[in-house]
Amino acid sequence: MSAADEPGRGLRVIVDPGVCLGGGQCELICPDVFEVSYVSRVRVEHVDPLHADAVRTAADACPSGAIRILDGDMAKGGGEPRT
Amino acid sequence: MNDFGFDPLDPVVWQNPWPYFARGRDEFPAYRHQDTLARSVSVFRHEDVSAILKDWETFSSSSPADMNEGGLGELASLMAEDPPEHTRLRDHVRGAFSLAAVKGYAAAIERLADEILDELLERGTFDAAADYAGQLTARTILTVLGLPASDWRRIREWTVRGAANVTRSHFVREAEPEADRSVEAIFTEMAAYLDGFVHQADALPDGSLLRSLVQAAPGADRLSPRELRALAALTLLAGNETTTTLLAGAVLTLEQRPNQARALRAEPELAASAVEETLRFRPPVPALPRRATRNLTLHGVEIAKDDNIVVWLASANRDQRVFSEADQFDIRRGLSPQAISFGRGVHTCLGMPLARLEGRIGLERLYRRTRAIELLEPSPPLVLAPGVYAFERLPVRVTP
Repeated sequence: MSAADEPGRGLRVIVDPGVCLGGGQCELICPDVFEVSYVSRVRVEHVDPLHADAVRTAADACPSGAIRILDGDMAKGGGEPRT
Repeated sequence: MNDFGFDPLDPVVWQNPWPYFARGRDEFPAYRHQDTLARSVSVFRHEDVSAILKDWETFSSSSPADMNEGGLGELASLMAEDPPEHTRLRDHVRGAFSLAAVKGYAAAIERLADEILDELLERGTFDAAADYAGQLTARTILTVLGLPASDWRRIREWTVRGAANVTRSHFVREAEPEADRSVEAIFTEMAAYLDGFVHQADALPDGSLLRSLVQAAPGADRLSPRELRALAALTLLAGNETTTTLLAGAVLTLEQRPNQARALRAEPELAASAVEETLRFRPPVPALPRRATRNLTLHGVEIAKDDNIVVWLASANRDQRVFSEADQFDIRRGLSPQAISFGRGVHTCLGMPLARLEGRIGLERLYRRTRAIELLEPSPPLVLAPGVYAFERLPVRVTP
């Protein structure tokens, strides 16, 4: 576990609307964070540490690869995108 | 050394391909088929299947210019294009099948399932693939498009035969001109059928998919009549036999395991989870074809530009490197995030939420309304085509 993964240290998640197909697998995996309208969107961008694992699972499993997790200290404006 | 001999068009192999997939993953992760007309390589491991599907630039979905595109000819559409053309076509339909959009179909699908079951339960003995799953999915997709649901038998006939053609050409050992002609005839017939609706979109129901596509706002990127027809054909082809196979496959897999069938009957709300497990365990689309756009080497196998690469989703989903107890069917396993049942990358199946919804409702209604389902053929015959792991028939006797 890197420092960036520690609870409260700023796990952020974004959905790329140009890539998302609206399949909603993320909503099935973690409805507290993801919601699908026309395409999927993030309900809460700053993820409660409670949902960190589910968000990573959803990002990893997104078939179209639309979900990105930004690790890092939010005070510095986020870190490197990861998928 | 090459004594693997995996031939998906061999009926004995196709009836039980799982030991071949296991051996492929362990010993022949990339396997060049020996006697096929086309130059084809099968890929079996989860890691490779996933990576290939995500890399559309190296592994293209389009055919070389001199080839009939994926056997679909004039009806070739989304599935046989790469970006940017693929992205343009896809953007016309992607919202229409999003999870949010299909939730609105749930009540109608449930009514339809019950209406079909009213008749079938009266009969007692029926074909669970054609009469139940096939009818439910064909009538649903026709309704979504705005076409007459009463045409479902004709559409089903076309799509079953059309789907059987997909990917088959990669494995045949000799030319099949007669079969090719008969599939061509189907697509010609289907194109003429769809043309009629495309040219009279005003007569289609308000809010139906085909009408909205035809009447896209002026100024927006418009689809040509040929593109509209092809997109409608793809929706019918992709949205029919696949979901039929999902639902029928769930029934077969459950009834071959009485404990699992009992668990679902005791708790029908497990249907969603059972559908997910069926998708992993027995994906309706077991293989997807791609074409190499450059020379490369995979697990020591030399692949030349324009060689066919067939990735086996059905094998990836049983990869013990990724799934624990991968060969166990457990309806309580729920959604497997790593399962590659709907593909990966830009060509990920747009119909994913609709397939899940139809599968869940179809299974739940069937198990809520029956006390027992008896398989009349323990090992029902399969359609010999790697494109869809479909049934010739799935005869059952039910006790209401």
